[in-house]
Amino acid sequence: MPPRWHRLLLNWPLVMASGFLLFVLYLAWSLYSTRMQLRAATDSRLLADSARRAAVVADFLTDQTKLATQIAGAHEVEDYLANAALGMSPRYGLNANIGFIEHAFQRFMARTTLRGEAYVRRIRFIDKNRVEVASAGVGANPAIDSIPGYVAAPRIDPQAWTIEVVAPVFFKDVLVGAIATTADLKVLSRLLIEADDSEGGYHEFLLIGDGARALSATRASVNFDLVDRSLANIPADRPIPTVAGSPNGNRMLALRTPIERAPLSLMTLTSEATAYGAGSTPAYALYLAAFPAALFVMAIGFERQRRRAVQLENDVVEADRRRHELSRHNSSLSKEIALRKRLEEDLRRKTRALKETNAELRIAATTFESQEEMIVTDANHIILKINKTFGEMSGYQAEELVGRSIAILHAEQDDADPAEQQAAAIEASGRWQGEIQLRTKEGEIVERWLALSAVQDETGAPSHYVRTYYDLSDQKAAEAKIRTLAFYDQLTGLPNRASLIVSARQAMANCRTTQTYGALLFIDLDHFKRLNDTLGHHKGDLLLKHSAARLQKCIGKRDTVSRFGGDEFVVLLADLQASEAEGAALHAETVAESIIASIAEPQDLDGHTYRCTASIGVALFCDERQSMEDLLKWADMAMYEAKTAGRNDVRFFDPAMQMLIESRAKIEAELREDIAQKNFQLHYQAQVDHEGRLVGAEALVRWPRPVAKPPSPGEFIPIAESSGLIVALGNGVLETACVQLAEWARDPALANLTVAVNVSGVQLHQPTFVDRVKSIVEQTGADPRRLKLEVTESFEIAKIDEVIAKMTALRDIGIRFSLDDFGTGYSSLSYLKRLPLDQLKIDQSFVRDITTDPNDAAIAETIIALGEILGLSVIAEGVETEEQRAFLAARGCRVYQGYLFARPMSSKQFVQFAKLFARPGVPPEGLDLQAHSA
Amino acid sequence: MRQVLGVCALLFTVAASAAAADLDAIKARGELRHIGIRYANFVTGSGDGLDVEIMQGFARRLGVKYKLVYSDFYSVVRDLLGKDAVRRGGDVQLAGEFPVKGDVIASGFTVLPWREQILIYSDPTFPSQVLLIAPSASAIQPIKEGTTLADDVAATKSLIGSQSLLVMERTCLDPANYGLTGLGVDLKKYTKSANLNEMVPALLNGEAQLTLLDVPDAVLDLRKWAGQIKVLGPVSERQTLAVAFPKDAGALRDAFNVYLRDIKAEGTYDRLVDKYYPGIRRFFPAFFEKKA
Repeated sequence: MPPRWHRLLLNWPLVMASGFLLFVLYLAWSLYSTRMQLRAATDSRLLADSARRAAVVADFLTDQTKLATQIAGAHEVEDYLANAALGMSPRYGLNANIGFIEHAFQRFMARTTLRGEAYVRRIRFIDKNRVEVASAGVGANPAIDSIPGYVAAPRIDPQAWTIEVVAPVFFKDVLVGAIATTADLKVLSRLLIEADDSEGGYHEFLLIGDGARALSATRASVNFDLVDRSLANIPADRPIPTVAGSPNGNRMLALRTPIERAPLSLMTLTSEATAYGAGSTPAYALYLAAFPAALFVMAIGFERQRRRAVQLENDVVEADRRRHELSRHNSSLSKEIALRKRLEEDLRRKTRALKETNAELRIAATTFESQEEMIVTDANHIILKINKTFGEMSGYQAEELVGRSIAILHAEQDDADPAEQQAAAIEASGRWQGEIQLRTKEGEIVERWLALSAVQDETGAPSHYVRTYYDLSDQKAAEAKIRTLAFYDQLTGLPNRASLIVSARQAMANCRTTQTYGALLFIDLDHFKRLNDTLGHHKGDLLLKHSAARLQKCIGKRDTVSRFGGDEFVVLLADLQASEAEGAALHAETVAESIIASIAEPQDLDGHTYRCTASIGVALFCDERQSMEDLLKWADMAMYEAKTAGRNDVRFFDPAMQMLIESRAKIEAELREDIAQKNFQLHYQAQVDHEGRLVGAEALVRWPRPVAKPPSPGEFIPIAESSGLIVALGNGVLETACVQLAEWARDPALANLTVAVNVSGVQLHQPTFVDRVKSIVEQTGADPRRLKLEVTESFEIAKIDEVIAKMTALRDIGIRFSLDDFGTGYSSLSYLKRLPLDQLKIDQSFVRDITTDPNDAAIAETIIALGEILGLSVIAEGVETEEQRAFLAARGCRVYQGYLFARPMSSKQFVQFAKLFARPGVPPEGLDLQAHSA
Repeated sequence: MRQVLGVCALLFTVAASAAAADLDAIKARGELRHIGIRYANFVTGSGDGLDVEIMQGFARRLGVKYKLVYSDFYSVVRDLLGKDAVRRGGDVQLAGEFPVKGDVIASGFTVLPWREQILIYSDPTFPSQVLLIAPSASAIQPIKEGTTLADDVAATKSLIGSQSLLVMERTCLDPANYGLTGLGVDLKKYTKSANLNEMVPALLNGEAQLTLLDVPDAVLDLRKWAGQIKVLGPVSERQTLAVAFPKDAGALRDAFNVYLRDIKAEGTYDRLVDKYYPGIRRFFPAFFEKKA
C-alpha cells in the first residue's frame, strides 16, 4: 500500500468530514446562484421601467420646447411683425394684431393639457429688447437675461414649481423677439405612479435639483416626508437597498434615474419584498453553508492545537539546551567586544592626534608663507628653507640659498657670525630679536628687524632656528621725517632753532677746549613784512629760500645757518680761529659783511626783481659761561640796533643796547595799561583852506606821562603796532574823536568842521573794522559826514579788494577817506584809482624842503596833479612857512596843515582857536598858539 | 318749397311709424326679423356673426323665432321703415313706399346723426372708428401717434393730399361724414357692391391709392391681408355701433337694452366678441373695460 493511501486511512474521519462539507457547500452555492439570478432579472425590469418612465418625463419636457417653438411660428405673431414692419402705429393697427396674438396664446393654453389638465400658466411675447408685446395667463414672469437664437432646454424653477421655455421669434430670418412659456411643474405628477401595500408599496418621485423638493403622484412639497434627501445622492441607474423613505422601516429598493437635459431625477422606491418576492435572501444560502464549514474548521483547529502542544513541549527542551550553549557564546563574545572597543578607542585617539598634528602643520605652512620674510636653518645655521616673501625681497631663488650658511646674507663687513653673537640669548631663552642689516643678491643693504626662535628637539637642544624678518623701511622713513620736522625748517631746509642750539652748545664746548672764539650772527631781512604784505607770502617765501641759499654760500663747512622763523636767520660761526676778541670780531664782521653783500644782490622772485637788505647783530662767545638764551638775546639786540641805525648794517652786541630794549619793553607794558585805562589824549591840528578858512582838524594822539620827556607818537606808535596794541588804541582814538565831533556839532562855530582820524593798516584789516566804526559813530551821535579817516599805504596790497569793500561800506554812510603820507610808500596808481578816496595828503617830508629840493617839489607837484586828475582834493601837511604855502597854492593845493597855521592843541584850546578863527577879520596869526601847543 | 318738403317728410314719417312692428306685434307674430348686411364679422353671410348671434339670443329671450333678412347699406333703412331715406344737406327725408322686411337693423350699424333723425338706437353694441388704409407698397408712411385723437385725425387727413381715395357713400365710409368732400380729394366711389368687405380687395386691385375702412373691417383685414395693407391713421372720432329700431319701436329697443346688459353681465357678450373680433379689445380698451 502506498504511503499516501496509508496516511489517508489513518485520517479517515477527516476524509469523511471533508466529503460531507463539500456536498453541503455545493448545495448552498446552487441556492445562492438561483436567488442572485432572480434578483438580477428583477433589477433589470426595474431599470427598464424607470428608464421608460424617465423617458416619458423627458418627452414631456421636450414637448414644451416644441410648444414654444410652435407659438413662436404662429401666424398671429407673424402678422403682427409684418404690420409692425410697415410702420403701423400700435394705437391704429398693431393693437389688433396684439389682440390676435393674445387670443392665440389663450387658445394654446386652453388646448395644451396633460391627461385633461391644462398646465401652461403663462405665455409671453417679448421683443428683442425684452419688452413685453403680448401675454396671456397669470403668474410671475421668469427672468430672461438675453434672447437666445435657439430653443434652449426647459429651465426648471424649483422655487416657483414651473417649467420655463424660451423660443426665439424670427421675422424674415432676423431674430426679433422670443416666446416665453411658463408651465406648471406639478403637472409632472400626472406621469408618476404610486401604489401602497403592507410591504411598503411602489412609489415614484421626481427629485428636483438636489432633492430639497420632490414631486409624487399625489403630492408636491419641499422636504417631502416620503423622500429622504440623501436619495438624491445615490448612484444613478442602479437599485440600491435602503431603509430611507420606508414608511414602516422595511427594506426598500431605491433606483434613481436622471431625466435627460433637466435637473430632475426619477426616484423609484419599492419594497424588496415586493420586488424580489417573499423568501430568503441569497446570503441565506451562504449562511447555511457556513455552519458545517465552521464545524469542520473547528475540528481541524482542535486537532492542530493538540499536535502543536506536543511539538511545543519538544521545542522547550531543545530551547533550554540552546540557551545554555548561547550563554557560553555570549560570554566569550562580550570579552571580544570589550577588546575591540579598547582598540577602537585607541585608534580614535591616535587619529585625533594625527588630525591635530596635520592642522598644526597646515597652520605652520600657512604662517611660513605669510607676508613676513622667513628662513629656517638647522642647528648650524645652514639654510634649510626660505619662504616666497624672503625670496622676493632678497632676489635669491630657494635653491641658491638652501644648504648654505646664513652668513651669506649678513651685511656686516667683519665676518663675525651673527649666530654666535646671538648664541647666548638663544641659549638662555630660546629666542633673540634685534635690528640687523641684510645683503640682497644685488648687493643692496636692507634693514630688518629679526625675530629668531630656536626649535628644540626631544632632548631640549636646538635642532632648528626660525628667522622672521620684519621690514623697517616705513619705520625708518617715519623716524627720518620726524627728525627732519624736529630739527629742520620746512621752507628753507635749514636747521631750525633746536638744531642750532645743539650745534651752538657743541661749538661753545669746543671753543672752551681750544680757547678760541665763536660767533652768533642774528640776521633779519629788512622790510620783509612789507614785501609779504604787498607782494604776497609766495614772494616772501621765495625771498627766504633764496636768502637761505646765499647765507649757506657765505659760511664755512663747520658753520651752521639756521632759520628761526619769519625772516630771522641765525648763523653759527663755530670757530673763528682767533683767541683774541678783536680778531674774532674782525673775522665775524667779514663774514657779516659778505652776507650783507650777498643778500643785497638783486633777487628774482618769480619774475619780480627785488632788492633786499639785511640787518645783522653779532654776539661773540668763547666758552660756556653765557647761556644760549643770553647769547641769542644779545645777537638779537645787536641786530635791532642795526635796524635802528638805518638797516642794512652790522652791529656787535653792546651792553648799552640791552638797556634800550628793556626800556622798550617797559614802554609797551605801560602803554598796554594806559590804553586799557584810556589814559591818552587827543590834540587837534587845524586844517585851513587856501582862503584862510578853518575847514577841520586832524586828531593826533598824545600819551601824557609823568616823566620829563613823554614818548612821542613816533616812539610809541611803532611799539603799539608791533605789539598789536594799535587796534585798541585806534578804536579809542576814533571813539574820542567822534565824541568830540558830536559835541562840536552843537556849536555853530565848529559844526561844519571835519575831524581826520588816522587808521593803521592793522586796524583796517580787522574783520570787525566796519561794524566797529559804524557802532562808534552811532553810539556817539557823530555826524559821519564830518568824519574823515586817514589811511596809510601800510595795508596789505593782497587784500586790496577787502580794503576797498570796507572803505566803500563806510563811505556809503558818509565817512570820507584821505590817503595819508602819500608818496612815501609804493604809491601804486593801479590801486589808487580803485580806492574810494576823497583826498590825498602830501607827506611833510616832501613839504619840508619843497622850496629847496627840486625832487620834493616835483613829487609834490605830481601828487597835486594826480589829485586833480582823479578828482581828489589834496592837503599838504607840515606846512610851516609862508613860502611853502605859497608854493603849494601856486600848484593847486588848496588845503594845508602845519605850524604855519597852528600847532596841535587840546580840544579846549582848539575850540577857542576855532571861535576866534571864525571871527571875520581875525587872522590865525593873532593867536599865541605856540605857547599852548603840545 | 322747402317748407312743403318738410311737411311731406313729417307726414311720411308718421305714416311709416304706424306700419312698424313693436314688441307686442313681434311677440304676436312669433318671429323676430333681423335685417343684416354682409359686413365684417357682424353678419358674415354664412348664417353667423356677432350681430346674428346677439339677435338670435334676443329672439330666444323674447320667445320668438329668429329670421335673418339680408340687406345692403343702400336698402337697409328702406327695408326697416318701408321708405327711402333721402339726405339733403343736413336733412333727411323719407320717401316712397316699400315693403317692410324686418324689425331691427343689427349689422355693425354706425350711429350717425342723420340716421338718428329717422331711427332710434339701442345702447352701443360695438365701438368703431374709420381709418385710412393704403397698400403696404405705398410710399405713404403711417402717422406717428400724437397727444390727442384730433391731432391724429388731422395728421392722417393731411396724408391724403391728391391721392385717390376709395369711399362708399351712405355707409360709415361716406366721405361726407368726415369732411373729406369739397377739399379737392380725388374721391373714388365704390359702387360695384354695397359690401364694405370689398373695399380692401378693391384697393389692392388698384382702383384707388387709399381707402377708408372702419375698424371692425380693418381688424379682420389686417389678419386676412396681413402684410399687404397698412393702417395710416384715423380719419374720424370714435364711433359706436348699435342696433337700430324704427322710431315707434321703443318697447322693442328697451327690451333689447335689457337683454344686452344681461348678456354683458353674464359673459355671453364677451365670449361673442372674442369669437368674432379677437383683436378688438386692444383697439378700444375703454369700451370693453369691465365696470366695477
